[in-house]
Amino acid sequence: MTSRLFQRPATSLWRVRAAWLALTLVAVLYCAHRFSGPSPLETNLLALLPATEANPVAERAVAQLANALGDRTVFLVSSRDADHAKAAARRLGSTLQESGAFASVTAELPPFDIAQIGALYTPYRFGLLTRDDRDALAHSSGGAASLRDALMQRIYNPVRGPLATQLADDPFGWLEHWLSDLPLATSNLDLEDNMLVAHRGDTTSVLVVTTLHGSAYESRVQRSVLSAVSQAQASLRSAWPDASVARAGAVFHAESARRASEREVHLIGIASACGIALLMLWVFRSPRLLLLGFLSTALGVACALALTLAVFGRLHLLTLVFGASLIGEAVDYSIQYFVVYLGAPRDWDAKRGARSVRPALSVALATSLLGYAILAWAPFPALKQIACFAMTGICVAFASVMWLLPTLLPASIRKGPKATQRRLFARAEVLLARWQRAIGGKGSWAVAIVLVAICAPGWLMLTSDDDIHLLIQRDPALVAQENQVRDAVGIDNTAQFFVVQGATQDSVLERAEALGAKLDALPGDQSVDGWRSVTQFVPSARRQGEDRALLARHVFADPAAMRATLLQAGFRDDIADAWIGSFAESDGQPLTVERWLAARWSRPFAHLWLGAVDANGQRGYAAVVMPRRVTPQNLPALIATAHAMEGVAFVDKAASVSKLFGEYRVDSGMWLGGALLLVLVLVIARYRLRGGIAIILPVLLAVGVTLAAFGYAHVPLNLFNCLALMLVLGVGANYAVFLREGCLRDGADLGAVWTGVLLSAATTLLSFGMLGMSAMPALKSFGVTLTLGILVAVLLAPMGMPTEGRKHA
Amino acid sequence: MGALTMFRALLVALLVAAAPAQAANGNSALVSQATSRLAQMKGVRAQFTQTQTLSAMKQPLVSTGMLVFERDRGVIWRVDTPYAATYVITDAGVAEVDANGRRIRTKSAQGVRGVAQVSKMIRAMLGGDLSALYSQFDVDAEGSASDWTLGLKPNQPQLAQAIKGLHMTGGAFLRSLRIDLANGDVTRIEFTKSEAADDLPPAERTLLSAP
Repeated sequence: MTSRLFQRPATSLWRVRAAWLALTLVAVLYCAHRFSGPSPLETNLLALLPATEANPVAERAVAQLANALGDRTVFLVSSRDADHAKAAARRLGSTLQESGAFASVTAELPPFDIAQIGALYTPYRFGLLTRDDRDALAHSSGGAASLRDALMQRIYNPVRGPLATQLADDPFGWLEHWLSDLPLATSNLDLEDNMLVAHRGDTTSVLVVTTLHGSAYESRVQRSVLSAVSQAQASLRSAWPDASVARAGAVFHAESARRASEREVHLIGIASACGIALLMLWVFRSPRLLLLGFLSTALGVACALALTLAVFGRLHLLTLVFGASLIGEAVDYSIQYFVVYLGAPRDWDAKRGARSVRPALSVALATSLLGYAILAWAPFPALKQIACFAMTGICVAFASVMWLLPTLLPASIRKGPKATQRRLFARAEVLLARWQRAIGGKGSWAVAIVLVAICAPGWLMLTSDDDIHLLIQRDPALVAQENQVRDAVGIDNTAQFFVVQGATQDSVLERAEALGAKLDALPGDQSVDGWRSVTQFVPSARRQGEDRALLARHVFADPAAMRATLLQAGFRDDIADAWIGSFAESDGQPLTVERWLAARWSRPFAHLWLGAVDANGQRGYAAVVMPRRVTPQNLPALIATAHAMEGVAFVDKAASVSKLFGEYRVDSGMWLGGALLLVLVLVIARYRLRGGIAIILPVLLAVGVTLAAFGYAHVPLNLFNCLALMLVLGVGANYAVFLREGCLRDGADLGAVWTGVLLSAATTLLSFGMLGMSAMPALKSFGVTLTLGILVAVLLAPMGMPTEGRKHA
Repeated sequence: MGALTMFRALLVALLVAAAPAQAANGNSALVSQATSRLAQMKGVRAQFTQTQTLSAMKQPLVSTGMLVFERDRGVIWRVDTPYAATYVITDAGVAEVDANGRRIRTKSAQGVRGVAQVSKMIRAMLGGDLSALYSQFDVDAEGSASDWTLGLKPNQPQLAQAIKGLHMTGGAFLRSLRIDLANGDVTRIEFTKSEAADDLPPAERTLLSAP
């Protein structure tokens, strides 16, 4: 048998190696190709979220709003010295402009004629009334007298708004009232020296607004923006040390997320690789085996990366970080093979060695694949990627151990275990024997009962957490700066809003108006404190028609009387005639959304109008209505309001995601039960009923102990903990399988098998333990759960050994 | 976006109480003296006569009334003739109160955010910080502390779109104010019987403290 490998033609050996080399080249070249082009990393945190909205228009609105605000960045330059703040803002603006990293930089506003706003509305003024004026006109009993009062109030009012209208165009000030109701700014920004300035306390803050050259989620854009910003800030620091800069924008969050995950990939990758290398060197004392182990793992990771990129197009940061921790699991297969290699009798046959380890590895592979397959079932894009990545990775690692490693481990180079190794294996065997006597056989039931008794109170203390921040976590430093900007500028709440749909533009506007009226009517605690809607800029045609009819009825019904009222107030004859005439001449054409959108100044508000949409095959239009204040107190009322109205939906992406998290967390309990059953059937098929139960018991207890630990530690359970329990099942069952298979193998060195199991567990724990230190809550939950579960699973693994196992040794 | 101020009444109120202690040397010293006395006064009361020369009107519109300015709360601008109306201007916005004391229109500061801006400016000036004034106007002062003239020209183009300039005269208190609007309209206000008002009658206190 020894020489069989050499009896085969060497070409066959080379053919296998060449096939693997080709596979490697294809995978590596494909990855290199993808990474050399535009970065395939998905840094848009929103892309991690599953589609939650049943209404496709609502889902689109979420994306559209995020995009509308996504390519904007805002800087706030603050100082206690107003001149310093302005000078620093000017410098920031010019430095950023020169950097070329931005499509536009606005520190000093181009001269803007505010009269443009009035100019858009003046032709349509007879159809534009504020609610107060409408009510006053409709309900006034005084007729001419109350009109005269209104005229007097307008003329003698000492306060004029920034959008003051000409007395000749608007004697009663109705248009002026309407203009002053426009939600042009949510902030207290003032215009000084052509800059937007906020004074708070003794601090003066100046706004600098930029737009990006491309998507905030492109690494190229992120890098150039970041370097431009840090350069500008450095030059600012030296010139005006008292000036501080706060920034807000999706690009900073995306960049920070990318940087954090790249840092973690490096940390987890390098730390687990080094740890695994040291462990393997210590146990195997062979650089060759170490290299082969890493070869198999690297193949798995490279192929996994290539296939995931090919299937999904883009790589989530979550997948990337999780991928780094796969090293610890993928290396398990080679470790098991090396154990057989070292423990084998003198006539080593690489192929036969692979064959003898195949059952153990197959069962282990099957349970792991099962665990990951359940992850793929969850509707989260990131989890599907992780599952695809992991399944590819471990399949390739398994295949390479089965077919590639034997071609690289010919008998000629085998020296057999060294003396130190033998001593290690012997010690491990003694340890295993003692440990198995303590917890194995009949004792295992006692251990199980004791563990359950200890765990039960912990289970009762379990709480849960379904917060969206499990998936999306923002850099607190950036959030603090963003809040600073928000306080000064007032950024809209884009997370919770209404989507209003209708078959025509006017039905959308009418529904939005009805919604606005309902929101205004919400009492006390439920009040939204105002809202933003396109109807504040463009009322529906019906509303404009009604307003015009109201004026026709109450103001222009008797032109002679109106003329007398105006002349009595002191108006010149020609002015009075011209105004009365202009109502008669105006044709009542209403202001349209298109006309408004065509005005340049409407751009900052254009996101309120979603435009033409295609919802479930029905063409129509949609708009958003953004309530200013959404609190837990008024949330139910808002949802109920949307429910009660046709074509209106309340969108709360965060709540939808949290709800989904909760549902799947509960469901995952069932999945775990199902998976447990499947694994049980699998192991019973191979090891009979008793053996099967003995194999599954350690991992079942591991799941129980992990859950209890969370309860005792008062750590709320989240969806990712629950999903990680599937992996505890899939990966944790391996150790009992390895041990049992080791016992079944002829002439296997049980000490070596146990050493291998411990080594496998150590490498996996190392990787997942590092994952537990991730800053991403989802991955941290994965890591902590897996570490804890696998630790218990491996410690209890000897329970799964056949009671007569030692006889085989 | 232009943040023009609707400062007539408020600016008036600000300078009504200007009571310089001594002759000033130099432009900015005079300005700061003209405003510094205010800081020590709780409020000012005065009678006014306003003459508006508006292009849309046949003849100038003359109105008379009373003005109360309380530093911590705001301004009451009461028109007596030819039409009785009271305007209450606070940080919260502008309220119009009819002859019966009924509020007929309240505009929140949201709608007329210039009110908050002017209010901030005044508070800053009261604290001796004239930078807010200078950030909006080029100020030209002449005369002595007991008889001075201030010329204010907007240095912000947005403001200049609406206002050509302000011209004030005064001594211990503001005596006259002339506002030239960019469209040619002119408003002149003469102040008489100006006095320090430390304690407001309850009725006025209620007006200023109501939301």
